[in-house]
Amino acid sequence: MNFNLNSGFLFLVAFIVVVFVLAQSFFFLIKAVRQAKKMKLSPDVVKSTILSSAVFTIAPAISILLGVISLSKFLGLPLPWIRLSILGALTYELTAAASAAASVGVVVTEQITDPKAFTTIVWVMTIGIIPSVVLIPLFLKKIQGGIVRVKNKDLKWGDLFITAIFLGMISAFLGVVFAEIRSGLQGWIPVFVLLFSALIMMICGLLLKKYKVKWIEDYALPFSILGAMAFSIFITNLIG
Amino acid sequence: MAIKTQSNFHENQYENKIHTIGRITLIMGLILSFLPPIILWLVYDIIPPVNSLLNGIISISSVMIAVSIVEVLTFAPILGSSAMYMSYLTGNILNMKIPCAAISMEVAEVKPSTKEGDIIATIAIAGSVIASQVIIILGVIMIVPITAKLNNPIIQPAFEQILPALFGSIGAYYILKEWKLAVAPLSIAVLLSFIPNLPTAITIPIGVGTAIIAAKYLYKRNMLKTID
Repeated sequence: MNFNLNSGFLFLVAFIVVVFVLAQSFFFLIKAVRQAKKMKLSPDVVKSTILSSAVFTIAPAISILLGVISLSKFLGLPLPWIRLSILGALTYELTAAASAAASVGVVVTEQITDPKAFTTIVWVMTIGIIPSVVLIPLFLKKIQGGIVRVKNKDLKWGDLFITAIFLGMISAFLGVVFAEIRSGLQGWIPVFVLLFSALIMMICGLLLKKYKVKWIEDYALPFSILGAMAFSIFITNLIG
Repeated sequence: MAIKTQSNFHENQYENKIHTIGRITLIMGLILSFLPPIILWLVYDIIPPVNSLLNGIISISSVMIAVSIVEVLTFAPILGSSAMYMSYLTGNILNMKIPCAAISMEVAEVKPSTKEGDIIATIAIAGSVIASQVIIILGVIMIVPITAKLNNPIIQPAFEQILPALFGSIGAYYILKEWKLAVAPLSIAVLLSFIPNLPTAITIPIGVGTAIIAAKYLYKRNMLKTID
């Protein structure tokens, strides 16, 4: 059979993957909602959690869609769609595709025509993600057990320990934003965007605390992200 | 006491079920992700050249193995079991799942790594997975008109800057909550950013380690407000 980047077989796999992913999410959602009822968590909290998480998702999901579109110019549509729906991450797939392409000597800017190069890229992208996936079924239960032990020993320190892990992780990524500042004013764009996003979050916090605008709590994060994204268009045009 | 034992039994049963289903679905997901290369091999009879394949795998895995270990250890306490299984099945954890779960727990006033926190994180991640799948499906169906609009050079910077936009707001939220805790890891992270091309597999453990040591120091000296 002749090789085709947009083969019907690959679209069929994409369809199966999407159905499978949605089935798992619905399963855990129903389990969690039932458990929430048993634990007497307010149904309003459950509803607002679903709604605000869906609203928050819009901006990152569009950036993933953009990843699918930009990879589709190189790898056809179904493969990037599959890769970014299951196990993949935007940052990983783009780098994996680029380094796999380099290993077979093709460039990612035009549609791939050599079937051997294509299949090598597919195998590399698929095998490369394995380490992160096999760790979870093997060790997650043990890791969670360890966290429970830390918390049981000293509840306050347990909470603080988790907040510290989170802040440490965020800090490492905030540091990444400063990585390009040596390249001149343009390298400062991510820093300005970050500060603008932080500023909107602070204004939301002020509205919530001082003026009791309660509804803003659910939407502070999407507001800040979308506001900062809009600001990045302005600032890039200004100094880019 | 008897009631407590019974409720513990039900909670353990719930946890065990989550781990069983989570493990099965994740392994099935891994198998599904192998369908494209297997189809290329069995249907189209295309096999990759061994040399290029090994080169590619070695260059990706050398980074991925370290990153994966660091990420699993960092994400597990924040997300809880079900949310971890869902997040790892669908990917895009750092740029979507973590901020979504973290903010949902804050708004619902529950803490990570508690039973209530796990439930809220699970509901948030499920909502996020379903919403993102819907958006991507719509995007794929309408790919032709959408590609032209989204590829407009005027709006491109907005999507290039999504990570700073995300980490600025979420960072500000947590730093305002307990700024003393953020001083040490943030200073180290900014210093580390002056060393070119340092991978996150190195910067995350240093950031997290610094944050834990600083937190222990501040906690022992009663210098934090939120712990009371």
